[in-house]
Amino acid sequence: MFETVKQLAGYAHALRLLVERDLSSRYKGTMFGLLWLILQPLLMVVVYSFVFSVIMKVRIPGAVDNPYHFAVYLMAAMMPFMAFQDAITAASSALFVNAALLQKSTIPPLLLPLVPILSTVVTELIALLIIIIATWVLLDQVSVYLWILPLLIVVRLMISLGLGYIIAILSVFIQDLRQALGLLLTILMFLTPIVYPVEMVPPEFLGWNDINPFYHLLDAYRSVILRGELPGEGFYWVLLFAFCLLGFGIAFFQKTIIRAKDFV
Amino acid sequence: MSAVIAKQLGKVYQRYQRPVDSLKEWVLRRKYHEEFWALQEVSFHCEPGEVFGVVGDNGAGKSTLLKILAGTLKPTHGELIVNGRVSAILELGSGFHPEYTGLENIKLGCAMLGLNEQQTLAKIPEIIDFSELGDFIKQPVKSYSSGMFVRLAFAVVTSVDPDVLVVDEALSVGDQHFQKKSMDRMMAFKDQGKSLLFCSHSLYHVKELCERAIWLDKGIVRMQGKSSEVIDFYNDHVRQQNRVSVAVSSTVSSATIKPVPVSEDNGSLTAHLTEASLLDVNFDTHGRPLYRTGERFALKVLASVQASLAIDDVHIGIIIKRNDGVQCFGVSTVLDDKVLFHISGREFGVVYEIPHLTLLSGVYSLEIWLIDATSAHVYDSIQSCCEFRVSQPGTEVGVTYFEHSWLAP
Repeated sequence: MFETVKQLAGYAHALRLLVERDLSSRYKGTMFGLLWLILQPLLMVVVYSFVFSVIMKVRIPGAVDNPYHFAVYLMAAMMPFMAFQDAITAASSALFVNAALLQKSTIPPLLLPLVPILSTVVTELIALLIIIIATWVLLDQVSVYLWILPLLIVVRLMISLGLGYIIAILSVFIQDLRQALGLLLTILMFLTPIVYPVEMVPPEFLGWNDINPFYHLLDAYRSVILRGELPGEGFYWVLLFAFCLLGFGIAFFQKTIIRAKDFV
Repeated sequence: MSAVIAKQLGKVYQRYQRPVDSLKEWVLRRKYHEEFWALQEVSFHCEPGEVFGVVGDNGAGKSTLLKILAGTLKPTHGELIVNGRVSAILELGSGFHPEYTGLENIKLGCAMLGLNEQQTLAKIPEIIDFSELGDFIKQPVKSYSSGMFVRLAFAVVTSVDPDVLVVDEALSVGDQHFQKKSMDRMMAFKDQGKSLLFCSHSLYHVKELCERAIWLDKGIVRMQGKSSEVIDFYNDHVRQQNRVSVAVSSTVSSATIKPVPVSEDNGSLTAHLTEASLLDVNFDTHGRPLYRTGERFALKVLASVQASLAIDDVHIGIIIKRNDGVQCFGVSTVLDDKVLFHISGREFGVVYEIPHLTLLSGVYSLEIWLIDATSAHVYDSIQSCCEFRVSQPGTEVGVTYFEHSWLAP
């Protein structure tokens, strides 16, 4: 893995170009351009706050008694998960979209899924910034542990990359995967306490939560942003999971990319 | 130090029924493919300042070889050593992202070739200028014509100052103006001591540009050496394939025909060809008669003629054909108003001499006719015999060398 990183370092400049291009191309031709990077999460915060706090008046038992609490609570986990979702979806088409580069240039194939996944870090950062501001403005809270956020983002990135590399290859060989992927990600979202608090999960299902790394990761985001606490012990499991997944993902990708090349 | 050394390069492609079979094979360690050798045991080297040509039919493995040289494909066997930076134009658009604009592709292309930001920015004006794309540089390259595509590709790969330049086919797409420009640039590269590996269907270009060449046939090296020789042989092969299928009644590769047993003179009006042989010939390494353009060509033809025939009613016609069926020159003793010479008994004959054979490089053979004075009746004929090679000293093109001069207007 160290060798791989060293090899990629030589392509840092190319990587930056590709990420910049990936981001700007997404909003190319739109009226607001890069402003959408801010507008999207901002509008979501507004809509969620309105629906859950003004109309449905959802309250989490035992939490801070503030009408806007649930909206921010939801967003703090939803935004990182959406970044993960975007990353996996982009990875699944990365080899197809860049077939010309893959087959006819000397670009290291590892860069191809890496580019759109790195882009999701930018969108995630902006979204988190808006959530932090919302927490401050709406709930009058600022956590002292915000400095841990970069670590959480890195772990989120590692998991996205690990799984992204595997999905990128499998989508080439198994055509059905790209069709099923959206559904699988939605299922994962509902199996993880994101739109509902973990307290509502019946005790017989809590065992699944204990091993679900996404629960521990997203809960860490909530701890750090909302509760002003350090991530719980489950976070060590997430760290281990992220390292193993990334190592396996890269190894799998490197082993099979030569085979995948011929079929994109 | 050689710029490029290829040691027994081989490339095997695996053909699978379905993509997933390839994955299954990796997991289950069981064979799910058929093998296809695109390249086998290809060895050569290319020195700095040398232009090296690659020729061959479609599917011979040229593109596979160049892709390996460019680094976009890994060889399955053998070893490739490249000293310095390689830059390549492979097929059309090599490594361009169709959705990116020309400018974005320039930046990416330069970055891929190891240039940093300042170096790239410094090169951009020159690249845009050379490609002559003007405002199109801001359009996605998928909207480019093939000519624009290749102009941009060529401008990028040659601007980054490569040590080894690999050029596939591509250039034939550009217009005359651009072809000239790119040719000049390639020549400048060569003069700077850089190596060029060049593949083209334009054999003329390969012959003119390259010192040495390699001829690939079904993935293996059919021939390697001085480009003019390789191209000559390859040309023969191409013509052979294109030949108008002429009914080959009797192909006689040796210069002498076995004498036909002469039947008893039964008063019939018949005659047979008994011998046709090239005189005073040299042979090439394949044991084939070889002439240099301009040399003397002499052919002895003998015929057995029944006594009942008047000798001035028996004539010989000779046609020189190239191996693609083109008749280069044909003449007969009827046309020239000559008669055959008496040799002995019933045998008559003649020596056909061309003091200066002006044919250019190629493989030729003879068609010999034994005809009557009206040229209408054929006593006997050989459709193809006495095959011989001609090799020319220069690089003129065509079938035959014309005496010529260049005068002040």
